[in-house]
Amino acid sequence: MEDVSRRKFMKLSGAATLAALAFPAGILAGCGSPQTQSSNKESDKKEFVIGVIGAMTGASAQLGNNAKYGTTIAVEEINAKGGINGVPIRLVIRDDEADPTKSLSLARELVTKEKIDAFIGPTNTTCAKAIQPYLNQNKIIHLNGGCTGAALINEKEFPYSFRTHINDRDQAIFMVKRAVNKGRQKIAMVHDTSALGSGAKADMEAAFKQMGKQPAVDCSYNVGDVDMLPVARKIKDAQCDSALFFTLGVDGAQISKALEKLDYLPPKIELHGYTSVGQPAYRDLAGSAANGTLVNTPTKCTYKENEPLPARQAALVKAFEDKFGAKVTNEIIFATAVSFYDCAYIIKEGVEKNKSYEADKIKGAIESITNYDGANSNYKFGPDKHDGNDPSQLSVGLVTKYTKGMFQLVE
Amino acid sequence: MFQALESGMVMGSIYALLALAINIIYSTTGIINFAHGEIVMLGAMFALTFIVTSGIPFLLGLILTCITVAIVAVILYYCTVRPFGDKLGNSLGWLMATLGAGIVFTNIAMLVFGTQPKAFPPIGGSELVKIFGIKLLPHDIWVLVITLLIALFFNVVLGKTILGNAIKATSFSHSVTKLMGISSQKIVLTCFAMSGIIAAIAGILISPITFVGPQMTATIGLKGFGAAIIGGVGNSKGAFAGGLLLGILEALAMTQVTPGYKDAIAFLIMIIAISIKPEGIFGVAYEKKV
Amino acid sequence: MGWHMKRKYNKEQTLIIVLGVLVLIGFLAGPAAGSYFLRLLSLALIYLIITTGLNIVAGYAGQVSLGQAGLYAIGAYTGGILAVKLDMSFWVCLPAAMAVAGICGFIVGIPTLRVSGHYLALVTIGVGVIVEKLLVEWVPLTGGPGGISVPLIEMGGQPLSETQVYYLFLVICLLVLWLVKNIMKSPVGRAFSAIRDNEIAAGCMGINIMGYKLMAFVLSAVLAGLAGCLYTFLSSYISPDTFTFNLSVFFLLTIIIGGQGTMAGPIIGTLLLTILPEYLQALEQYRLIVYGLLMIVVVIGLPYGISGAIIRKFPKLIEEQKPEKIEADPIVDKQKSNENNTLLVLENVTKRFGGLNAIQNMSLTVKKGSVHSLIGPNGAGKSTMINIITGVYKPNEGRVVFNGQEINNIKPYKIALAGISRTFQSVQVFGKISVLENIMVGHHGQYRSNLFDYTFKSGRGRKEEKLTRERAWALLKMVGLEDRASEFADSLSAGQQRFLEIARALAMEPDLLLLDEPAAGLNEVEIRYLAHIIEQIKSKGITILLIEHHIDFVMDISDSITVLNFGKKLAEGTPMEIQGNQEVIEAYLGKNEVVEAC
Repeated sequence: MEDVSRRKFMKLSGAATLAALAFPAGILAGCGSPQTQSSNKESDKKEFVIGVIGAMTGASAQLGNNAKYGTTIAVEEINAKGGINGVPIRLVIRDDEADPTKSLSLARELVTKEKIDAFIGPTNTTCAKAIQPYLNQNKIIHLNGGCTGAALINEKEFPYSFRTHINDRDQAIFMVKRAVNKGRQKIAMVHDTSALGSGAKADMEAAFKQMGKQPAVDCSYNVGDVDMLPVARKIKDAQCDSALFFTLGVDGAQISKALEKLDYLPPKIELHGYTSVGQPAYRDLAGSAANGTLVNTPTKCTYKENEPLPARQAALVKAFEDKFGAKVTNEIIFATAVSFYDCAYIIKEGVEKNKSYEADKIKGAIESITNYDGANSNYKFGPDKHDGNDPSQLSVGLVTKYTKGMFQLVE
Repeated sequence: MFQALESGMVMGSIYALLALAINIIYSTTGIINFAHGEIVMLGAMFALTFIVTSGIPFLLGLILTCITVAIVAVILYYCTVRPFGDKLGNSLGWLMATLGAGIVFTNIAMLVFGTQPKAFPPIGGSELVKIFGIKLLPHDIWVLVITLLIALFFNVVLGKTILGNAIKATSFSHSVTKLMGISSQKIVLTCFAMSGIIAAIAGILISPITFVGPQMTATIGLKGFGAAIIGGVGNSKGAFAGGLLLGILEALAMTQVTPGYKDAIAFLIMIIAISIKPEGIFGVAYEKKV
Repeated sequence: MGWHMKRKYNKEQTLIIVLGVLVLIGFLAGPAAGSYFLRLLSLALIYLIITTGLNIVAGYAGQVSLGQAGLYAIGAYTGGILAVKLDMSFWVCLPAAMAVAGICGFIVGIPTLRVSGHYLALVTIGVGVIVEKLLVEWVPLTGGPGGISVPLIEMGGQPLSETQVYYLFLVICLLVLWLVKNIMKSPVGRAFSAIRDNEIAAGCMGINIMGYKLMAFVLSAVLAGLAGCLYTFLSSYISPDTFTFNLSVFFLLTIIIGGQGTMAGPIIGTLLLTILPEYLQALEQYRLIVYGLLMIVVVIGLPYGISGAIIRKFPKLIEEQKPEKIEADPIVDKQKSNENNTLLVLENVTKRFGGLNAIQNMSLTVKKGSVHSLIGPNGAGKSTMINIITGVYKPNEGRVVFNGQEINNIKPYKIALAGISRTFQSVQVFGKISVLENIMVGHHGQYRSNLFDYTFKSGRGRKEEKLTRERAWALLKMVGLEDRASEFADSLSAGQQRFLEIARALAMEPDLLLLDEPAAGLNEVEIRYLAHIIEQIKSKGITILLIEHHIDFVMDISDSITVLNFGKKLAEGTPMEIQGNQEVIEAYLGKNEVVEAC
């Protein structure tokens, strides 16, 4: 009836290229698939594969580097000493650019193509939300080293997910408690509008409620905002004597500088930041405005005034510098990087305890770890406690007094 | 309120600086350089390397930065604009090419300079001064003054000099310019180099405010583009006014609403401005000739 | 009745069909490749839907959109919110997401009607940013930056498996491609391309530019909403982090690499850009640099995208099959018995540009069925007259009456639909569609079918399309271009483009045909041919208003002539009268010279 349409053929002509493209990829993917369930036999295990996903490019690149550096060093150490259970570890690292869609695609790639036995990461809370259901459905042991959103760890919903880094809720409770106990009257909550910041806001509000107090003012801003005067003004107008900073390093620095413009810095107000305020960016960028700012830090990653760094941490710093260059401590948060480092060791513990690669056995083994001496903290896990860290491991350091990414202990 | 106005004017000046450079390229080639934000970032990176890291004196460092960035801008022209020849107006190619160049610049900067933002000393020191009851950095005043000077310079150059006429002729038609004995190629190159120089200056002016990092101009770049369009592309008075207006409106809006809506409001202002007066504040509407 | 025939494919076309079938088989066999590849393919199907939609607005209608991720997000969140907050099933969420996104597309479309080019880019970027911020800030509705988790697709109380979801998406995607293809090869698709290639000419073909631009925006938004909703149910988790400016750039890049304005473009682009990142992962931190460089290299090396390059290399792929017999009558007979003898009247029309009077106090009467010529030196205001009559310019004073109806204040497309068609002094063909389609665009105003007819290929739509095609072939044959029917119109020579314009104008079945210097640039043979065609047109009762500099030509074919000079009427009369008019001779040749010099 109808004659040939040229658009039809435009479409069809495309098909040629498309076929050329689709087929190699199809074959590639096809190759990997048939032997899906075969290689998990205990005896003939050739390698133990750990997958890592983090944002190594884009705005949160620093977070991904924590993960990359921490896990790399740990895996090299473990392999040098004979691997896990006598099997070498192969580390597969992927960059998700902080995009949940990419994160989930990559997680699937790691699970189905790389056949990972365990997973460490990711570095952004929304990415973790996107991939955790998938990892748990596929019974992949998942160690979270740096996503601090409290709700991510849920023993019922995500039975195979564990965390080494101290979470936001614990930090919020720690900070609010401390401020209230110190007798601060007007406390400001400062946080960004990202998933992390808005989660922290809820955590802080809950902590205030627990302490029977109200925050004086709630200040929010966009990640990357340059003009922070509105935030600073809000804090000053409310005449706050304490501000709790749930901010990334750069944003925190902008706020401190804005406070400086309004002449409202310590000792007029106490600034207390959560672990990310320890990013080198904060002290470098805020300059004189950073003086006196306090920051949460794992007790293990601190040093006392006029004393050298703890030996274990100093050795790790050396390992980082040898592998990634002398300036590496400026590119990572030391405590977070070693939190990822600990992830690899926790997996090792879990496997070697029962000498089994089966997810349920590893899970049980990790849950039975009650006092693991990690580089970041001492961890205590349990069947109802997949968050291995807790506020008892936390101290307060002085942002401006630091050596190799570790802070001088204040209290 | 006044403090908000002041910081609005500083941000506005920065938008205006970006808009001015976007304009000068638009006026000869008819394209919007979507990589301009990244070029400003490179300016800041080079300035940091020359002035802070290598300790070259400020003025010499400034000149070096201007030269380097001008070269980068010219390279950008050869790689992303020139290949399209005279068919620029009808294709989306340049848009994607400049966006692609932006991605390349950002990621190269990340590799070379690292992802960690760095501080840059403000011009005039970091001591705050008090004027009319508000505290500000001498740097803020420098930003305003230098932007104004550059805008005036362009107004004079484009309005009253031979170069200005040549630029106008080039924007009218490349072949006509050739007939007039002007090399349109040279004019376009000059304009790209000039945009590079302004980008270098903008980079140095922005650095103490945003800090120096690969992402420093991620949103500022788009707003500079918006400022140029609000003012009417190809018009230096408009770029200056558009930039300031955007900065001030943004800062004032922030005293009223949640900061989360800041960028949304900035873009809403732009969309409304464009819908009401598509030719821009200072633009002139033409009847299309058939 | 007509020329019934079976489709015949040439060698290239057959090869492509075979490859296309192979690809389809590849997609059907997709699940065999494992879970990871399944997700990539599912994502590819979703991206294919949204880029096909983007291709409508950016590729066919030529309106850049850098905010498609915003509309995608609206679809995704509409689906997600309905599923979570109101506990609705996938089957309700899907149409709802399409409707909400469509409405948003309409709203986005409104400011874009006033602007184009860079302005449009900025407006659409702004829309993307605004949506992104709303997702973050409107916490009670969107769940804020943390996003929302969404249940799986259910059918009969059972959640679908991944493979079932994939096949569901594949069916939806194929359906979308088929429907979009139907629209794009209908008058609607041609109208989009016409607007893209030449907005003014499109308006003069009776195409409602605003309406079609809005329609393109709404269609693309509906598809973005559909894709977004599918994404929600594929991922079971959505957060604002996904819907960024970079994603909008990715979508636009997809169609640019694949080839804008072709159905194959989004398919090639999507497959390439979904699979390419696989290979790029190995580059680690250099990956995005390579991605950026590829962007630059591809847009420079393949300005028409991959499908465009293939079509240009193998033009036989898009060959229009020439009917064996062309029998239709190219020109519709307009000889109706009507007492009213005047067709067009201009009364005291004045048009000023700045301070200059291009036309001053001009009055003109054109008799039905006549060939009326306007002559005069350059700058006399002849083309301005035509532009006023067709509504491209609005007169400052005076009125224009056509067939008893005042037309000086209505839009060009309505004037065209009223029965006035034209050619342009500098030819204005639709360069990037075929010669045959150019003529079919001319027929735009004659269709009675609606979007529904085109989308679902109703009998009425098909019948009209067939008639149009037959008429178009007849017109092509009349102007001697039937052997170049499949070529892009801008590959024709200037003279051929002039004939194409005339054929296109005749396809509008006008009462009044305005020819603006049709003989400019033609050689002697061609001019004779043109005269022959004009005779033919006249014999069908179509009135012609002609602007021409070739005096002999004008004298030969005109019934009456009006001479203009400096925007004023100098003389009017039959060719004989004008030839003897001293004032005219002076205006043209200066004093004491002879007419023969022309």
